[in-house]
Amino acid sequence: MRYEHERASEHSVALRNCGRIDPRDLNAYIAECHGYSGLERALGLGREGVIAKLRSSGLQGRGGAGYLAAAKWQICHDAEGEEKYAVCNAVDADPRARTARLLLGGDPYSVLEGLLIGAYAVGAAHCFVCINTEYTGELTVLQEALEALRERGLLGSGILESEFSCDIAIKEIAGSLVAGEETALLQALEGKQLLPYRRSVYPAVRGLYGKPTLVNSAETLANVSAIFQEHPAVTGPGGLAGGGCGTKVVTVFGGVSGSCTLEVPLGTTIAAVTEAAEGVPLSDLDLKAVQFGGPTGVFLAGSGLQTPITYEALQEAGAAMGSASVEMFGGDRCAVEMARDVMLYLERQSCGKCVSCREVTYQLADMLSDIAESKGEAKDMEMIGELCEFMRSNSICGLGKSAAAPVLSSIELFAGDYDAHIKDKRCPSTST
Amino acid sequence: MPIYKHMTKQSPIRLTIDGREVETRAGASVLEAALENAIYVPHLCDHPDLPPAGVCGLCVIEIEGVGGLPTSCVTPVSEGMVVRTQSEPISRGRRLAMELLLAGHPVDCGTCQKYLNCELQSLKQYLGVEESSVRRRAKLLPVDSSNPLFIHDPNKCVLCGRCVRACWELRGVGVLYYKKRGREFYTYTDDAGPLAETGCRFCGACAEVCPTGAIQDKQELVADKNRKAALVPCRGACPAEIDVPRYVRFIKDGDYPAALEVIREKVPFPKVLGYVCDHPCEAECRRGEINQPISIRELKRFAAEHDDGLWKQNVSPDPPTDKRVAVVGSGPAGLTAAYYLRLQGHEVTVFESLPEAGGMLRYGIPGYRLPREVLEGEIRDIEDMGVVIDTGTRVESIDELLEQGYDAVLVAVGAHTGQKLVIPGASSEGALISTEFLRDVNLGNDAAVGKKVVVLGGGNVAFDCARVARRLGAAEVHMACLECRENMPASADEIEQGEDEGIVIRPSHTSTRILDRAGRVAGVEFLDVASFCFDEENVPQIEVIDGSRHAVEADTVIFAMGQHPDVPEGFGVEVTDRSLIGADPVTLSTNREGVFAAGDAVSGTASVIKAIASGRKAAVALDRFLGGSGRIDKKLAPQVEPMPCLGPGKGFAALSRVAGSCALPEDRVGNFCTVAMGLEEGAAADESTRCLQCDLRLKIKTVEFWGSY
Ligand SMILES: Cc1cc2nc3c(=O)[nH]c(=O)nc-3n(C[C@H](O)[C@H](O)[C@H](O)COP(=O)(O)O)c2cc1C
Ligand code: SF4
Ligand code: SF4
Repeated sequence: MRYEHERASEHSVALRNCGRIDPRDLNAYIAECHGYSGLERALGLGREGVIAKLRSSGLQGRGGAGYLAAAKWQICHDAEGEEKYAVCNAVDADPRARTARLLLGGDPYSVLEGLLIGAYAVGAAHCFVCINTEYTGELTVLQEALEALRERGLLGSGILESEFSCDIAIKEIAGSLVAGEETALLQALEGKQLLPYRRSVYPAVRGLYGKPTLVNSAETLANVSAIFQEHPAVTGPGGLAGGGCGTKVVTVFGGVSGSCTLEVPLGTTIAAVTEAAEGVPLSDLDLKAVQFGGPTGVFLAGSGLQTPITYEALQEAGAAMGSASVEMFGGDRCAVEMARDVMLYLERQSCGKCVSCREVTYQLADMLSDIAESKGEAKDMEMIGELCEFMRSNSICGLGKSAAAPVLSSIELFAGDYDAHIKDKRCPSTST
Repeated sequence: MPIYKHMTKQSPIRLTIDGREVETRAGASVLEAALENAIYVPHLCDHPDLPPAGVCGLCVIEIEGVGGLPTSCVTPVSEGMVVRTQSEPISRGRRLAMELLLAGHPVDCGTCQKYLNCELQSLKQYLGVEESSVRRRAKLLPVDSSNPLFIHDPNKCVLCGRCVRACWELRGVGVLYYKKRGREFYTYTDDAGPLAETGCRFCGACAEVCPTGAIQDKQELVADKNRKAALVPCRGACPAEIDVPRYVRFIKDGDYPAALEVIREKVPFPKVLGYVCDHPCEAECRRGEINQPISIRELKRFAAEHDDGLWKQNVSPDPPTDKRVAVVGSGPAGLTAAYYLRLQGHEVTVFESLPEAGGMLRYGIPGYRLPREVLEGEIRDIEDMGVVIDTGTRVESIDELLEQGYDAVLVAVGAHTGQKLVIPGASSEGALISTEFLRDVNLGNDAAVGKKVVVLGGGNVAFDCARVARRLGAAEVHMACLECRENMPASADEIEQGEDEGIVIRPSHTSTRILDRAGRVAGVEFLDVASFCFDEENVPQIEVIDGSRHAVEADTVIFAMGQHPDVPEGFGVEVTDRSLIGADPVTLSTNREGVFAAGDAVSGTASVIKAIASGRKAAVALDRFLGGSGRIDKKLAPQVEPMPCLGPGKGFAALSRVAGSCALPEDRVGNFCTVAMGLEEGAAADESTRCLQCDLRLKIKTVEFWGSY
């Protein structure tokens, strides 16, 4: 396993301190990493000022949807309510992604500082960090960090001798794909079953216990602290404050070199990221396709690999940022089997609430299995299309809404593979 | 429309649905707006008492200017919105949703208990989904009938999530979850353990909202029964229809006078009932399916013991009707009828042949079961309303009363005449009849018994005789009855308390003769009974065991086997061949115009609560006969809506019954002091908390099927 940040990449913003300092050492964070200068600056700016500064950075949420962070903070700030909450999403719902893990284990203070700045801006006095239950080592680091902050007066009442009081609690979340969905997280925080619900208003207006709740990913919050620290990674050329678009943490896997997490400037192409991770040019990689953005991400091949990793460009290419993971599939793979495997996984991950997602993933998994075994029929393809559309438009959470994407993109890119299975009753990827 | 309506923040929203302009409140969903305006939109996961979920895919619609097919239950209305509820894409979407909902659902609707009552089936018909374009399968999940009250068939579950929302959002209990077994989803408790161990409160909300046959009431509890009576069986079982869950809840909430008022809405004898009611409600109590029934009678007594008397301010007779009613007999039936008739504005006189009022309450039921001051207090309340009781006056004929100008007569003379078995020796000295024996005791007449007493009979009257005999100094008291132990007609607490007092029960015994010595009782000869039952004509069928003849020594024998009314010769109403007064079971009218009959006189010896219920019924009939409305129910207790939220119920199912304590047997056999001690405040609080509040379920709205639109 290789982590690009260990090579002290000049691009790193979110992961800027990971591997550089002892994550347990609050003194080192303060002394060597501009630690808590961001919160101090924020407290000086006042709540409106904080949101204005965040807006001018143009930071988009790094958790997947890319919603303008300042816009969300503004909504939560404006929402009526005495009691508000702020939540850090550190679940890493995509089992291949590990951004939150790296951050909590390698630099918890950057995330926590970002969370406190967010809480201050929206007016929340209670925060939660939702951490994947599998992250036991990181949990210890996080617990120690909160303890250290409390001892230092950086958590609790009158933080940094200001009027701002805030506490942070930890909630362990059993990992699954829906576990990272924010409404599901809120349910779990209320002690209910971890299931998404159909929201009629943003959690920023009505979230935890019906109160305005700010939910941000750990990566977003690590960016926030850098912005308010006016960290060189942000103010320098290419940085958000230096006229650039910032960075994204990306995980590449499925190739020869195992799994690799890098932080790259937004706008880097998928091809370039893949090359960087594998250390060889694309032409040497024998790629059939990659799946971008996690288990519900689309397959991309050929020119699609040249798509720059930005929210807008991805959307244009029919893809989405999601978890920003890149899974590589070699040239010998069958597209039908690839789609089937994804669907079998998604069927297991569906929480079962929506008839669309629950039943359609089931039906698609069966149909794709049949086609993969060359038992499918032409009319199955039509039905797949209809079911996919139904799932996309009727499901209540992002999982169901996007679960059709891998299949649809696979059919579009590799119609030949499907034809071979259905018409010629053979798999194009095996010589038999 | 008043001006201020326009000024409120929440002015109504106008929108167009299917070309019709309709109005609804702000914040309503498009689905609600449509349904309110009698425009049917199919829906399954939505329920009027639950937060919307938007997961079934059936209620999709089209909105002008909005792409796709929005889900109407989660789409709020907005001013000027233009909605279509029918179109080709809409019906294609709805049908596909239904096909997917049915993909794993069994097809054998005809065999399901929910047949014709099933929302899913109705929706399927509405959408005309016969064939399926998606793959069908059988889920093959196990059916669970191991829990009390409910049966759960996950194969029929369509994951609408209503039960889960009812459990969490409506009731705040939180024990149902989405679960998965293999590839199949269903809803269940978290670790699939028994409901009782999860903190379930058995409120039945899940079964109530389930649109399919997945969660249902156990068939034996509801089949062929009136729905309300089956779901709130205590209330259904009370002959006087006392609203049990409502008063139990008032006790739980600490408002004891309100609890008493609830009881008083139906009966004028709350405290008497608190002591002696045979509580048929408890036998039906749904809590009994979980562990033990609620001590309903004890709670009634508790409420009555906390009477603040304020109810009297809300009870007064209606303006005089100038009608006069004569009631013959001052037992529970007669006095109940008298009380309600008086409140309807009639002038009521009760005639009682014995020196004091109360009928069997005074001359049958012994004082250790019903303290005299309790009875007298409640009779005084009835008199305070203006009922005149003329004691020591025996009415010899109806004509006598009609001549005195009474407009109507109620015969409620009770069943005070006992009988002896026709067996050799029955007329020996020392062979007594239950009713006469008890009457003598209660009149204070000399009623000595010997040292060894045998009571023949197994009902409550027999126990009264046996326990009184113990109190009069009998050293050894035996009771013998035809029934086997399990089928003895006496109530369980009588049997228990009787045995505690040393009474020897000899079930499955038939007496063949009374042994005598010089004309005095010397014992009873018995045969053992192998089986005992009644045939279709109600004739007892007894099978004895050969060679089982044996004798029990005794110097007193008391026959306690059935009573009938004492109707004077030439009384003037029809008497049946069972020596009862003939009356129509519904109207309680006799063969004579204006003459009604009620209580044990009509039914034979029954129970206090049945007599009271019969008195109520008679009051209704008489009031109607006299030109009144027949509406005798009172509104006394505060009309508060109960909280639908019950909260977490950890340990709830295991809470065991708090019964009232009794005086120690050795302290009670020598006297007529009260045996049952009632409940202390803490105990009453604990016991009322155990109630499942079954009536809450009836507050849940029922979903209208499309046929009613
Ligand atoms: C199926 C699903 C899984 C998700 N998993 C994650 C996750 O692991 N981490 C995360 O930060 N956001 C995840 N999200 C996005 C969150 O719902 C939410 O948008 C995000 O935490 C907001 O943070 P941001 O605005 O900082 O990006 C997921 C969304 C969906 C639909
Ligand atoms: S879309 Fe799928 S995962 Fe999301 S709530 Fe619906 S069923 Fe659950
Ligand atoms: S058991 Fe009934 S109410 Fe519960 S999810 Fe299934 S169908 Fe819906």
